[in-house]
Amino acid sequence: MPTEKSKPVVAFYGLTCCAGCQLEVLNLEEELLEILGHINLVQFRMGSSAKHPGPYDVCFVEGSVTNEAELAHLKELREKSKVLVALGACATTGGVNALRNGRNIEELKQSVYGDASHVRTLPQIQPLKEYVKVDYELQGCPIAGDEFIEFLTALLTGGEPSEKNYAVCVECRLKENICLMKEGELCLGPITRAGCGARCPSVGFPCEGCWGPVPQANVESEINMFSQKGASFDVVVRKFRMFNASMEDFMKQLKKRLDIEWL
Amino acid sequence: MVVAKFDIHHIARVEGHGDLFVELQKGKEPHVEMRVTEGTRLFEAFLRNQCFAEVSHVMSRICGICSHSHAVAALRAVEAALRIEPSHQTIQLRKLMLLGDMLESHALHINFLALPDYVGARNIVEMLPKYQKEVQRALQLKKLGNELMELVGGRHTHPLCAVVGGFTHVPSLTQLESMKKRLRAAIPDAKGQIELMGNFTDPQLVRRSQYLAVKHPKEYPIHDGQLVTDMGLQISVPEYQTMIKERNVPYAHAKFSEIKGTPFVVGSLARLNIAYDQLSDTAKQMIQQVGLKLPSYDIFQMNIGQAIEYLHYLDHAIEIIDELRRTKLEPHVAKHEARAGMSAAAVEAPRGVLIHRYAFDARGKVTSADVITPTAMNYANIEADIRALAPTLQDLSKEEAELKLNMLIRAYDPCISCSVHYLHTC
Repeated sequence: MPTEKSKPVVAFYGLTCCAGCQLEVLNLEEELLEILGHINLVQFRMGSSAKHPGPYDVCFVEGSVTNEAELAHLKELREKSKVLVALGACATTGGVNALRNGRNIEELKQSVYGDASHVRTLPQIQPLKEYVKVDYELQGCPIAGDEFIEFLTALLTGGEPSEKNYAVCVECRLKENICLMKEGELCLGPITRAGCGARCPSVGFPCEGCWGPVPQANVESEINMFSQKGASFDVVVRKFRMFNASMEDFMKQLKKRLDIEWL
Repeated sequence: MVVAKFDIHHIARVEGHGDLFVELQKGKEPHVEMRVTEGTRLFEAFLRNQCFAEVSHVMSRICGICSHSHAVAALRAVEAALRIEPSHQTIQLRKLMLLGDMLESHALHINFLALPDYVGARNIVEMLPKYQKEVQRALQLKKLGNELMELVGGRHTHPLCAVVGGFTHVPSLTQLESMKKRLRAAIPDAKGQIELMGNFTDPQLVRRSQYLAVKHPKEYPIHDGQLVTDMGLQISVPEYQTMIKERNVPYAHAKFSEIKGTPFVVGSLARLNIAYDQLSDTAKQMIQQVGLKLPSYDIFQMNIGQAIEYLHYLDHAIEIIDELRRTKLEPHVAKHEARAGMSAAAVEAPRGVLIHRYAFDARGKVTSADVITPTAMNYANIEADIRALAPTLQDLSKEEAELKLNMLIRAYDPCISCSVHYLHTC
């Protein structure tokens, strides 16, 4: 066990999101106490009233930047942290928060609040790396507990956390699942980064792409497959946008193919 | 003249971001602002044009802690709007999802969020040296809820296999039997949790408020029923807008709610006050043993209320599993098609009544959506409670006063991220 002084100073912060990724860390009930033996967790407002002004060795940030105050806060955290890790879909792809992108923000606000003059919010949601340097990203909505442990272990032992640059299909095959695409479903597994262990397809639900696009995703072939199954443009766009509406390359390829102005 | 001022930035050990501002002036009503600073999320707005089948998956993302409650409320509202009849098996499995959510969230709130204040710690880790056994127990009780959600919903945060009309995947008989064993084995620990919370009788804040729960004729509030207050009001869920009135406040990204012009309470104490007689026998025995008097108007008893409910919900989950074990469980999705329609549904989330309402066009696309979360319902009452508590704070040190204010807010187990999107009237 490391001594108190040699333990890295670790902080967790949340921007706008459901807090599900911080919760996934608390959900590591079996491992939590052991993890806490290896780090000096100084800031975790969801679980502790202790406060620590920084600097931090490692700072985990979940959620999206939705207003100027959050942007300033993120920049401050960046300055205070040796390593900054974006935690979960809201921080790495914008997640469902980015479904606002491409729509008229004033109309959206007005429809929720009526008089929305007191509501300050940005029209576009972007991954955190668009605002500050992000050292590592842990994907998913929510993140996977085992990936978090794997990541932390690599970091604590001085190794380089591994990146899974292959698609969900690989994990799905390893689990010997029946391919949902072959069953007629519209599954984003072929173009989505692995890491979840093919969580959704394993319980009969097609992948929704929450781990973000796999590098060199063959978007065109995916659109072709969806079209062959009779999916309308509208359906294809909704499937792609669900967790990836702020992924520019992804949307560009979609736009090239479908020629929809607001993508 | 200002005699005392409290400005608490980012209230800890609650879900989401909120600040509290209190100013006490001589001869005047205390000025209280529960500032909801969480960024706005616009769920109801960007949901428009999404297909009915996607609604529950988007809306579960409102909240990590109560994602199963949001998913079930959304599925039931969608089905009511599209006139889809789920099977009895589907309803029972959904109850298990809600019960899993209750177990996990209650164990988290009681032990991780509320308890440290009562034993002079800032978090559960600081409790370890003195309360090793209790901390280990808390982790196990929390895990059990997660396991139940994972077993039925396919994942403990943001369920996967619960879809409009039914389930794409169901647990096996062996899995259900093993789950039942673990639920039964947790009963002594659930009792221990009640006894522990029964030790803490301070602080208190007794103030007669009105209480609201989803009341069902056959079971303690969880999955379905009418909106019932302890003052005798009763309406069906789709008419909720005639009962619950919301207003914008300039310092919050959430709307505040009232019934008949006064604040109200939802959550464990509301459920207990309204449906005490529907609790399981073991839960009733424990109420006797710890000497809890119901109805109770002491808001701090939300905490022990959750501990009582943990035991009841264990019993309820065991009962449902016993019934399901006698049937043939198979993935089943009721036949359905897109059509125009509008309806609402309410469930009991861990923090209280949760209402979802949707309208669809003929293609089954969302034309309007409305979600009222329990935390948003409680805000106005939190402020009213703080106004009542405020005069007693003047004799305390700043630290003690702030602790008391924090404890009061935490007793409501607020879920602030949930609350920041709000009413859309179409």
